[in-house]
Amino acid sequence: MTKIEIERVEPYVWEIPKRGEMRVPGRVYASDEMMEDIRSDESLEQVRNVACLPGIVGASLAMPDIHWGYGFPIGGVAATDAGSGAISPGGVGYDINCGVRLARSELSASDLGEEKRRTLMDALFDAVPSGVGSEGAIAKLSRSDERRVLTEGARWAIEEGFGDEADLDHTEERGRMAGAEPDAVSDRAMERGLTQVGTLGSGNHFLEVQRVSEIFDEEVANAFGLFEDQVVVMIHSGSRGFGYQICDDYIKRIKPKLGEYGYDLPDVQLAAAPIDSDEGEGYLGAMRCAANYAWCNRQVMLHKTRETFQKVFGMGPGDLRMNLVYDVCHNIAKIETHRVDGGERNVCVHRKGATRGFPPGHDEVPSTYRETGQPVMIPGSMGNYSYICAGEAGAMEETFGSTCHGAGRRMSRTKAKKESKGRDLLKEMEDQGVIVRATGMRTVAEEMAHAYKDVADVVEVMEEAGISRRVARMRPIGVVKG
Amino acid sequence: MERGSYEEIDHTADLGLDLRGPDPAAVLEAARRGLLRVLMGEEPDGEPEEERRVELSEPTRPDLLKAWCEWIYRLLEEERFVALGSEFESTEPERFRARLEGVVLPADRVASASELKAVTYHQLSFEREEEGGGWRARVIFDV
Repeated sequence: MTKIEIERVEPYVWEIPKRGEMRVPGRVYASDEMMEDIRSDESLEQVRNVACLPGIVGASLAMPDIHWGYGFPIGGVAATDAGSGAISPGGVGYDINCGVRLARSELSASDLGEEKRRTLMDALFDAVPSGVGSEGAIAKLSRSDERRVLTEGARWAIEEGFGDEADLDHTEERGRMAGAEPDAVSDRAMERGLTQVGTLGSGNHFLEVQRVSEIFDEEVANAFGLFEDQVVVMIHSGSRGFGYQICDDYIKRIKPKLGEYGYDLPDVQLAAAPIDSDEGEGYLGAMRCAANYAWCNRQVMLHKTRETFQKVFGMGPGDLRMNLVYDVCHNIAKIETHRVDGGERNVCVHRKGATRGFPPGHDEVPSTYRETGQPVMIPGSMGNYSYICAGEAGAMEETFGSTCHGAGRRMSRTKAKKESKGRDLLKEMEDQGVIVRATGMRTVAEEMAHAYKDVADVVEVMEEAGISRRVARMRPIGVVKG
Repeated sequence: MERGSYEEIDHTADLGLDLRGPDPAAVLEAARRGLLRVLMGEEPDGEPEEERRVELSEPTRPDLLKAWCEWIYRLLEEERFVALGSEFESTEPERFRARLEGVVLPADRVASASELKAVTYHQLSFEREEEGGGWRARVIFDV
């Protein structure tokens, strides 16, 4: 492991000075304690590598949930000039538009008996398929319907009866990125996408029933439709095999062309193409298809969740009022306008394990939240707690409108499994009041709380730095995992 | 044939394997065992009931290792076929033919495995060792 030169420049900001092939400096948001953990793996080297991307502007950024990824660090943000810069599929990641949505309800957690909670979690586990090869949440798509999903995103789900118009109002980009090009998608990706709409997947993806345990900002929580002890649902998933295939296809396509572009990158996984090249445009068109697929996927899962709640509690939609608070993606590349070197500039913002968090007054924030700032969901580790935050003005000044996306791993999966050996993890969770329904116990072991940083520390750093602020904290009462 | 070996890499977010073997075929066979152990929690065993054949061709040897791992996973995810052993009919630097023996597992057994998002290029290598004449490789998986 190379020793990286890094110095504190503000109370919660550290800088890797621009050296050698770096085109910009690196900037990492972290507390002292976090920096000790961060230094223990290769993530700072990855921040430095990203600073070498052609056309990168400002700085190679890392949020406090940074950890070692492949190519880009997880928790990385990089903006490249939208005209002359590069786009990197690895800077988005394999799970394109992996994201989180939070839905509220009129239920209070204290009204839910244990028996009812068990019935609910069993029913949710049946309604939302999870695990390897999971499919069958809805009928297999026809080829023409799949193309509509890719271009229309969550709207396709709404038109098929899986939700309502208000859901779109509360989804980033209204659940559809313009410029999706199904013709830029391989046959293999199309094939993989036919059966996986409405499925959770595996790994760190989950569906959680949570209780609002603490409110930090009453006024904003009220605007988000949240109250203390309320039952809410958080869904974390992405574009499934469809998105994984697109990322892999384009890295394969771009890799042999790096010399032709004149790109000399420190890690093949950073493989990037000029945005205006055939490969760059092809990737953007295909990536937007995957983003739309993911929004449709999460929309169908929310619909299945609503149906399940209504059935278990014998409530109609008007009584349950399970409205979508917001849906954000945290693996994406988007063309946005930001201030760079004192002027407005169109840039391609890569967010890999980072969430858009626009401040109050921003045009892209839905009118309902225009005064509060965009809601940002930050899931914590399993069995711990998650946060809902709101974007702040500092994000536009410092982080290209981005904030953190989760707790961030601090322990490898291998080590987490070793430390979980011999423990009855499900019983431990039940003792903490969390009912877990999982397809595989190995993912439960890998995702235990001790494998992650404390998400409370992560959101605190973002708040202290003026990037996003806490609105409410939620504790899980039931978890569905792949 | 002398067996290859694998060791799990302690990667924070993902999973990886360091592989060694006396020849490229032994490294690839070790990758099969290591990958399935990573995904299923243990190396699968039992009596083979079916076979699959594969012919792969890639620009470089590391690409070949990546394609091989992808193929093993594809068989698991799409056909629920878990490979219990592999025999290489030919291995050249950039292509090979292999025969895999294995079994088709019940859907719930496959669903409980870890999902492989991708076999990444990050630190991907497959080369002859500087000393000793053996082969070594490294592969990182996004899970």
